[in-house]
Parts: sequence; C-alpha cells; structure tokens
Amino acid sequence: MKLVTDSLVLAARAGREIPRVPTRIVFPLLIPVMQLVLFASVFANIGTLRNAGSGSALNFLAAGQVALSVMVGSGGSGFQMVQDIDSGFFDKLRTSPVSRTAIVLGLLITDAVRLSLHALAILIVARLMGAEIATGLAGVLVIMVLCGLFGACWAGISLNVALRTRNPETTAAGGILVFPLYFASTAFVPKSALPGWLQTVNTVNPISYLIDAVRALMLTGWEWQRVGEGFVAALAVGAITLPMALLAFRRALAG
Amino acid sequence: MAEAILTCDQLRKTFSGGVEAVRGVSFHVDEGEAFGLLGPNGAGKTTTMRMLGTLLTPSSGSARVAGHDVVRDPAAVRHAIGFATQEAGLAKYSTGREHLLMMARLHGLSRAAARARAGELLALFGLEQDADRQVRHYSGGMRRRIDLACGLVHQPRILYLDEPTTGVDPTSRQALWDELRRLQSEGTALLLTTHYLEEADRLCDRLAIIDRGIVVAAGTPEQLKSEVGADLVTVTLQRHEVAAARAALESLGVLRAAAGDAVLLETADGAASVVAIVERLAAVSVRPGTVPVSRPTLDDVFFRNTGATIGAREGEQAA
Repeated sequence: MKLVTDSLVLAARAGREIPRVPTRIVFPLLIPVMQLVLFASVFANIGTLRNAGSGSALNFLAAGQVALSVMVGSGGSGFQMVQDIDSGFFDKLRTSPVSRTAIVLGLLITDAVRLSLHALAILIVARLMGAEIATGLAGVLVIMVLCGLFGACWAGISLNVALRTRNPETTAAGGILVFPLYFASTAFVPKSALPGWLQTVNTVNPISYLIDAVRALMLTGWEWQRVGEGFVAALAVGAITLPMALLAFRRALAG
Repeated sequence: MAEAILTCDQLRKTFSGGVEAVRGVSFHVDEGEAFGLLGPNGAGKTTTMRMLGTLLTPSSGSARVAGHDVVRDPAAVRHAIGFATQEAGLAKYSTGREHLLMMARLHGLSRAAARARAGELLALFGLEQDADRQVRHYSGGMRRRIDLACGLVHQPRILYLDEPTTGVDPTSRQALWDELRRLQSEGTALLLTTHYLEEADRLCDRLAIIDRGIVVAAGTPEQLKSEVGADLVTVTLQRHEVAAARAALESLGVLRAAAGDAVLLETADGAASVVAIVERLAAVSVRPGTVPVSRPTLDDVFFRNTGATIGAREGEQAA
C-alpha cells in the first residue's frame, strides 16, 4: 500500500514538472513529426509502400513515427533520475521513509502516461494530415496502452545508463543508441521487402513488433496476433531492462 | 538527566578507493541538545552525518538514533530524523508548497494533514508569498529554508543540518540561526556540521572538533576555550620591527605565526602581560601600534589540538 501511494506521489511530482519545461514535450515529438511530414511526401510514389496497406505512404509511415516518439521519449525516466541524483533530491528521498522501489516505479508510471500521450499526439498529427485509423477510437486507446507499456519497459534502458554512470551527458547520449535498431526496423518498409539478413534481425528487433502492431491497428483492423506480439515484445524488453535497472538502483542506494 | 537521542561508537568509513574518511568517531547527542561537528572541509563531518542519516553504511562501528540501530533498522531511524543536506537537494521545477506536500505524504500524512502541515511550515519560515513559485527562482537563503521545512514535516526528534549556512548571505544566516534556535527551544535536538567557528559558537551546546577523520576535542564551547587556557595578545608593529619584537617577547609566552606586521602571543593572563610586553619592547626601542587582548576562540582551540588553523587545513585540501 505504501508502495502504491508513494509511487503515485512521486509520479505526480515528475508528471507535474514535465509541462514546466516545454522542451521536454516538444523535443521527443519533433523528429517523429518532421519525419512524418517529410517522408510522407518523399515516399508518396514508391510502389512498395503504396501496395503495402490501405493506399498511402502516410498511413504506412505513421506507425513507425508513433514508435519513434515512444523510443525517443523513453529517455525521460533516466534523465529525471540522473538529475535527481545530481541535485541531491535523490538523497532527500533516501533520508525519508519512502518505499525504495517507489522511487523507480514513480518515474516509470510517469513515463507510461507521458509516452501514451506522445503516441496520441503523433496519431492526431497523422490524422490531421489525412491518415486513417481502421480500428477507430478503440484502436487509438489500444495503441496508447501498448505504447505506454512498451515505453515504460524501454525506459528501463535509460534508467540503467543513468544509474550505472550517474552522468547526465552519457544518459542523454545513450538515447542515440535506439537509431540503428529503429532504422533497421520495419518503420519504412514492410518486412517482406527487407533484404534477407535484415529480416533475420527483425525477428528479434522489438521495435518492429511494436510498429507492426500499431500498423495493423491503423491499416487493416483487429489483427489480434500482431497486437499480441506487440505486447509480448514490450514485456520481453521489460523482463530484461527492469530487473537490471532495479539491481543498479539497489547499488545506488547502498551509496 | 537528559537521555541520549543519538549515540555513535567508533564509527569508521573507508571508501572503496581506500580513502579513510572517518577513522573512529564516537559522541552522543542528548534529547533536545544542539550538537556540532566542527572541522575543515574534508575532515569527515559530512561522511559521519551521512552514516548517521542512513545514506552511507559504516565500514565498522555502530550508531543508534532514537533507540534504533542505523544499519539494522534504517527505516525506523528515518522516521526519527529530519535531514537538511548540504546541497539542499530540491526538485527545481517544483514549488515550495509542492515539496512540503510531497515530503509530508511520503512520511505517511494524509492529504488533508499534509496540506495543513505545509501551510504551517510555510508560515513558520516566512515563505507564504513564494510558496507557489518554482524553487529554481528561490534565493540561496530561501532554498535552505524550504529544505529545512521539508526536514520538519514529520516533527522529527532530531534534525540533521549539513553545513546549514554555507553559501548563504550574512542576513539570511542570522535569520537561519534564529530559526534553528527557536526549533531547539521547542525541543528538537540538532546535529549540525560546520566549518564556521562563529556558527558552532553561537548555536551549539556541545561540539566535537573533527580533523582528518577523528575527534580531536569535545565539550561545550566554553570548556574547549578554557582548555586552551591562554589569552591571545596581538601586538601590531612596523614590518621591520617584527624580528626584534619576536626576540624580545619570546620568554613571555608562546609565539604564534602571524601576518607580516604583527606578533601574536599566547599567554595565561593577557591583561597582566600587556605591561611587560610594552616594557620589553621599549627596552629594544620598539613602540607598538596597538596591543589588544582577546579571549580564546574556537579557532584557537582547533589550532591547539591540530597544530593548524581551519583556514590552513582547507588550503591543504585545495592544494
């Protein structure tokens, strides 16, 4: 019970601070929105994309940008953690009887909510540009839940970097590591159009499972297998990153 | 007879790099007492306080706060203490009121109780006007006050203050001292670290002087000063007369290192020595400018026990 209230108190604090630093909202959305606007035009006449789904490159590319906004934004937990360690706020919490796990859980809850809103923002931009979402509002909700969960699990990576280096610069730079995985994913072309070795890479690339789940909900409808795979991929990521983050956190607590 | 709220016995901390920051520190703080750890930067004061505040695990030795062992029962210790850290660790994008509400909630107060307590503390520390501004806009003194208030949400029996007035301007320092004394008069024990002699002198009922990880002297400020047992006479002169004056005064007491145009003499009875000093100097044709006598200060106590001034030790640290 203490864990739950403490987590919510700390999540509320981190959440409250986000809109007070507008760059924290704008920055993670900037690249996905730019890519969406530019690539939708650039790729508009490429055949593989036109034939891949319900007609337009925009519809096809939007899923990749939803995923990217989640990936880029998931650095939030780690960045907040390293800032709190740096400022001494982390120590202030440690001298209080706060549930220790709540310090991490609070940040993850904030990221889950924030990243589901990121996904929503990209969907709204895509919709305004003319994209369609086959599964309608219910689909949007499922996409938000999936992105929130996936994002919180992916945030475990930034938490690991933050707790193991305790260095703000390294933590910020660590976010760049997502790009190779992202560019090698199904963000821009369907898996069937990728060269053989990249198809192999993508059987273990969790980002592709997220993209394919979102894409299915946007282009074709309730493809439960795809959606399920998206959730499994999120949990698989979390099963690795979160225990490692908790371990690093234990070590940070020991001083 | 007052009960001890805090006792520590032979606390040691050796960091993984092999640095022995604390090398066997023992003292106790009575219920409601203000106890100071005085020493230069790097003496081991903060490390000691962090061990007593459950932020660091001691390498050896033991400590109990409000009856709870800091290693075996850290959670109970955290309920008993408030801790204002040196860097006043605040979340800079949150407001003062939000800090108090959050800390009160984490200490288990209900929403309504947290709101009431936050309001009380904001009024107590004169922060009502700025309560809803983000702390990044606060001055150094205001940050200290809100940090202090955060440490008090749960009415702890002992408040730890790590360098409470470092980086605070003189006016705010005075105000903070007044607030700390008021807290103490209401029954909260204080444990504070400082490298300001005046602060230790003004705030502490008793203190321990720490140098290089060990306690070199302990007692009330008056006891410590009377142990030095000597007054200090400062004789100001022309620069070229200093050597002759030192030779003439040598037998009257202990000569101390001093700036170029003065001679410092430690002597049992300063007032009585002044006449002798003037006579001796007249014999070698030296006319002193002024000859003030001062009672020992804590700097003298520190010098007596370590052979260095606090300022000189900090110079070593920086080098």
